[in-house]
Formats: sequence, C-alpha cells, structure tokens
Amino acid sequence: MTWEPESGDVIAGQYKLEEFLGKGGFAKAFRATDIDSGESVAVKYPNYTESQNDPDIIEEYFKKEVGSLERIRRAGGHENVMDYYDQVTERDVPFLVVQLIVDGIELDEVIDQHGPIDDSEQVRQIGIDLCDAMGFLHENEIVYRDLKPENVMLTPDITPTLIDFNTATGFDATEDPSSGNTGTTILGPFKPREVAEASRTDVRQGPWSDVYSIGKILLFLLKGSVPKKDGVNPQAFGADCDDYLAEIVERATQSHYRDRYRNATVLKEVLERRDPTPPATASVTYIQANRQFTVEPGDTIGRQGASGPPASITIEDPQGEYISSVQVQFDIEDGEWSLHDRSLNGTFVQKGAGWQRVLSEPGRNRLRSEGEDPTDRHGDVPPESVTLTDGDLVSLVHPTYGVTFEFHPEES
Amino acid sequence: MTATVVSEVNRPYVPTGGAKLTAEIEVEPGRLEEPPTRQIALCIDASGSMAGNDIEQARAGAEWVFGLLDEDDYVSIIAFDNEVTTVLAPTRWGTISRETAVDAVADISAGGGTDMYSGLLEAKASLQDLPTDDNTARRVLLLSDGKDNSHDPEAFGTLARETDTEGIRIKAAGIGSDYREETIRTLGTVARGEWTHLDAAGDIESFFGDAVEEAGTVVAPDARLELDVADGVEVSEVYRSLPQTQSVNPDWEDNTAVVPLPDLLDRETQRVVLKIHAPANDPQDAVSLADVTLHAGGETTRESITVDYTDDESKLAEHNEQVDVDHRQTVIKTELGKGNVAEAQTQLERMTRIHGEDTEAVQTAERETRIVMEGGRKEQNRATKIVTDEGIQK
Repeated sequence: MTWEPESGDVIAGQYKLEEFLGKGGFAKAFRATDIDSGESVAVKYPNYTESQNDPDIIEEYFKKEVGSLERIRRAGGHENVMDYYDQVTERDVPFLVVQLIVDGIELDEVIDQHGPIDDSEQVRQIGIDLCDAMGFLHENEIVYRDLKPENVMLTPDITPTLIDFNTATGFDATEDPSSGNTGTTILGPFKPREVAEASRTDVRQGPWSDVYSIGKILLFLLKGSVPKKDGVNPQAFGADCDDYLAEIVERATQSHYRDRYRNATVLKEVLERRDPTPPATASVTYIQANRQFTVEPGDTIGRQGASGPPASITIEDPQGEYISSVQVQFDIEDGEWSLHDRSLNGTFVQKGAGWQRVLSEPGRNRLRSEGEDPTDRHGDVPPESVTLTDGDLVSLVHPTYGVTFEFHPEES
Repeated sequence: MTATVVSEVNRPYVPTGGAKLTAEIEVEPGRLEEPPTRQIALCIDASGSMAGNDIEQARAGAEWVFGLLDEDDYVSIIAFDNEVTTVLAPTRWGTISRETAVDAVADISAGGGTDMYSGLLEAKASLQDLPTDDNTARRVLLLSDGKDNSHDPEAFGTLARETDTEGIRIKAAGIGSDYREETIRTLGTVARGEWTHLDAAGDIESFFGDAVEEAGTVVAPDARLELDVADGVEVSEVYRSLPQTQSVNPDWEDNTAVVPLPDLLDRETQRVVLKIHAPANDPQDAVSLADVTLHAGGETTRESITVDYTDDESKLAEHNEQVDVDHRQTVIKTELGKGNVAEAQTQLERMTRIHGEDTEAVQTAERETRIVMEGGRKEQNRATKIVTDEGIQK
C-alpha cells in the first residue's frame, strides 16, 4: 500500500502540507509552505491510489513532467508558465515543488462558475497570453500536446498560467524521431488529429498542434463547450463574438495542419492585429537541394531525424549532426524580417559582400566552455539575430558546410 | 473500409464427448474513407416535468447540434407531450439558415404528459422517406425524463425493431430518476444504438453532440454477423460486449443465427461473446463449429470458429482464460446495467470460483458490483462500458 500524504505532513523536512488542492489522472496536489522561506508553494505527487491508470503510466507521465519543467527552468521560465522549484522524495514518494498560482482557478471551473465569456476582448487577451506561453515552449523545443482548460489556471486579473506538463514532449531518444510522435493515444476535443491519432498517422506533430488546441480553448471560453469537430466557427455554435475572432478560431482549428496558422507566434500576431489574415510570408530556397519552402514568422529550420519536437522545416544534415534540431527561427517585426540563431554551432548570413556570423547565447557559452573564442577577427561577438533582406544568403553551420538558403520576402 | 473478423474460443481442444465452450468474435472496422451523410431526428420530451432547466438545455443541445451539421446532413426535431409537435420537419442543413432553425427550437415549451410512443413514431417517420445510400447514418436521439404509461417496454421493443429495419438507430437517454429504465434500455438495445443515463440538464448538450459527431464516423451503417452453425452445434448466451454490453436475441433461420451489430465506426472495435456447444465427434483437427460472416458496408468477411477434437489430456488442458473472462464480465456488466445486482453477484461468485479472487477482472467486477449497489442509475449505465487499453484517464 502506497503511503498517502495528508495535510500537516512535512515533506523532506521542508514543505509543510496544507490544504488539498485537487487530483487528476496522473497527480495530486497540496498547497504547502516552504518552512525555510515561509513561501507558499504547490506540491504535486503521483496519483497512484485514485486513478484508473496503470501505475507504470502514472510514473512515466510524472517523469515527463519533471523533465519538461526542468527544461523550462533552464530556459529562464515564463510569466504564463508555472515555475518549478524543487524535486524531493518522502517515504519513496516523489514530490514536485512548483509555483502556487494564488487565487488561480482552472479554466473549466471558471466557465462552470461564471458561464461563457461574451467579451471578445477578454478572450482575445487570454489567447494572446497562451500563444506567448506556447511560443516560449516552442522556442525551447517543447510541444505541449495537452492544452485543455483543466491545464490552464486563470488568476483574478485574467492572466492564464499553464500548469500541467505531463504530456509535453521534449528531447526523448525513445520516441520515433521521424514523426516526433509518441505511441500514446490521448483522446479529447482539444487535440488535433495528428496528436489524438499519434500512433496511426504519419502527420507530424509540431507547433501547429498547439495552435489547434489554443483555437479550441478560445471556442471553449466563448461557448462553454467544445466539439471534436475541426474547423469550428464559434458563431455557427451560437457564440456572440467579433467576426475576426470567429474566423481566427475557425482557421486555427482546421483538420489539416497546413490550413492552420503555422505556429503560436503567427496566431498571436493575428490576434493582436484583430485580423485573421495570416501575416506576410517569405520564401527560402535551399540552394544545394534546389528546394523552395515558404516561411511565416516563428517558423524554424532544423535537422531532420533529430529527436524531440521537429522544426517547421527539417532538412537532412549532409555531414552528420552539426545542424541543431532547431537551428534558426524567422520572425518579422514592423514589417522587417529577422533571423534568430538557436543553434550550438551558429549560422552565417551573407549581406552584400561579407558573411556575418550569428550565434545563440547557448552557442557562445558552449564555445567558451570548450576554451574557444566566439569573437570574430574584429573582436566582435556575433549577434544572436540579424535582419534579413531580399536576396540574403543563410548558411547553416558555416558558408562551406553545404546547406545554404536564399531568402526572399514575398510581396504582400 | 476493410473490416476484419477474428474469433477465439476458450478451449481450442475439445473431448470427443463434446463440450460447452465460450467464444468471442471481434470486428475491427477499417478506416473512414468518406464521412457519411447524417440524418438526425431529435426526439425531445416536452412534458411538464421537463420545464425549467431541462427543456432549456434541450433547446441549447439542439442549437449545439446545428453547429455540428454539414450541408448534406438532414435534421428533424420532434417534441412530444400529450401530443406530438414537429418543431422542424426533416430539412437538409444546406437549405436552412441557422437563425431559422434556432427560431423553430425556441418554440419548444414544456407542459402536459408523456406520449413518448407517438413521439418516436413521428421521429421515425421523419427520417424513413429521406433519400439514402449505403453511406448514410440515421439516428433518432431520444431524450425523456418520464414514463409513457400507455405503452409497455415490449411495445417499445416492437417499435424499436421497426425503426431499426428502416436503417435508423436509436440513441436513448433518460434524464433524472423518474423515467422507465427498461424502456430506455430496450430502445437503445433493440435499435442497435445505446442507452444512456443523464444525471443533469448540463449533460444534454454532450449527449446530443457526441451522438451527432459519432454518427459522422460511421464506416458501415448496417452490419451483422451471420453464424452458420454445423449440425448438432448450439449457440446460446449471446451478448454484445463492445461498444456497450447488451444481451442479444439472434434471429434464427435454419442453421443460421443473425447477430445484428451497431453501425461500425471508424476503427472502433466491436466484440460479441457467446456460448457454443460442440457436439460429440471423432478425434480430428480443425473442425468448424460455425462459419462466421460479417456483412457490412456491402462487403463480406469470413471467419470460422474451429476446434480440434482429441483425447489427449495435455491438449485438453489448454485453456484460453481471457475468452471466458470476457464473457463473464460482459454478463455481469449487462446485469449491472439492468440494476440486477443479485444476479450479478451470482455470476461474480461463479467467476471467482473459476478464475480466483486475485484475478484482475474478478476484482474489477467486484468493485463495479459494489459501486452499482451503492450507486444509482448513473453507475448502472456506466457499468455497461468496458474500458479498453486505449482509454487513459486524464
């Protein structure tokens, strides 16, 4: 019989359990006080006793959550993502110590208690915050996969916070790298086809999968229910919302991922603009392979077959594994395109005559840790991002590496 | 769609004197290629007891359905109290505006008695003359909170059979604690749909919504298993196990039993369990006790329930326990669905004797029996669902 913690118990000599907060299929949670600091925290542990799930599955998902939270912490955390403090063990039961969302209520309860939200502005703002959180996760190569109302806490000032990470995937060598999918089937109306049918589809999961879920969440906020159906227009279900928002939800929830917004950055932008039209696109031509791709803001290029969530565009690495799983990301600000390096080995951009190295902070740190100097011959530290203009060349790793793209913004 | 049929028996070797075996037949429907056209009749109890939240939610549920329909789908709405009102005559969704449909639904108000029989008759009539092809999914979605005092469950059984013959499946939901369970159960079982208990008005929307979405995943709207049994072979205790545990009375014609199946849904496994009596025979291999043919979506798929006759004691000891467990579990769950706790307990004792109290299935059955004993209609209804490996609880 597994030991069952109770209010009043002290975990690892440091966290005093107070009120029971709730339980799900994988975990239970208490409010607790950190005796050292006096701070209030939340303490989560596996729900072995009151779940119908197999203990092995519970354990697996619990571990997944720890992994994702650790990675989020390394990336510096995010305002709309639950903070992770500590992992401790008490009487063989593992505990996660995380941020307590003060006065937070899960989105499904919010709607239960107050009914659907008629104010398009409020729904839009929650959507923007969720996109922001998702964009942050995607940048850190985490696909959340399980966005649903129960996993989002709303505070009284209408700020959403993501709280559950047990199905989020990061780097995981046991997964099939070609699809980025795991074999687990988890059903529900907030999941796009490629996630719900992960074990039987070839469609890749990616940033577009979370876009779908955000779309369904917005419908849920507007209507209080969500069908499994794809391509849902809230107005067709009787929701009284602004036309632009209805169109954005319809587009975000399309069956085929190519018909959705490409990633959370794009979804955020259309919500901010109150205009469902997708933003400007650009084309990049992979010169050596003579292949052309369309990119939208937020899209990424990375190595094919890398473990972990895939980039928007994946290419074969001609020389092994020098290209990162997410190497570069495109963005647009005030109509100007930019390229952000997210790799360890760096990227070169040719603007006119010379090549400019672009290198992420982790990439620079790696060089320094290996005793190398990241600065160029002029003693300048390479920037993390550069602006892109028509005709610029982008070489992954090095100009002679053999993977060079030519960039062209498309006329809008 | 390409469905497959697989059968298994609990004892692959049979003594020459004959034996009573347990068999199970699993049907794996193929993938959905072209979503079916749906023809949906909402049949809504508008008697006095539905007044307030229930009728309000029934209206909201109908409006929810409108959001789910595609242009080529048909919808009709029938409301009944002492009288039957056609709220919305069968209409192709592409020819009506949402506004018009919502206005029609707004006219449903509660008052009077419960002539459910006439309501169902009208709902059936509203669908039966619509144009169909072999890719049409027809449903009557019945919602009622009361008893029809002028018709007994048997009369409803006859009506359900007639409805089923028109290719129309009934999804029957009782709400609250005053409806006649047997009637709701009979309708759902006989017309190859399901029966459901709804606890509260808030469940109505998802009852309608889920049923309409599910109808959109039908890959074969009229499916049946034919069991052509060999001379001397007897078949008994036939149950559907998945999608819902229900007892079945096969139609017999000469040596052929027909087990009607619910519409096959996109990759949703169906399972039928039964007892089969193998007569005495000489020692020989691969004797067919029954040829099984699945007729679905214009295709036929064949399988055979075969055994080896032998006197070899070691072979005779071979036992596929899971088949037995599945059958017992189905019987127990079906009885629990009817609220027959005593009968379920008798079956449970038998199951415990054979399989031992440490068997997971026995423990699950025990737990479920206790839950139903302490619970109500919701727990009864829930007991009729078998949790498969696919379901991970969140």
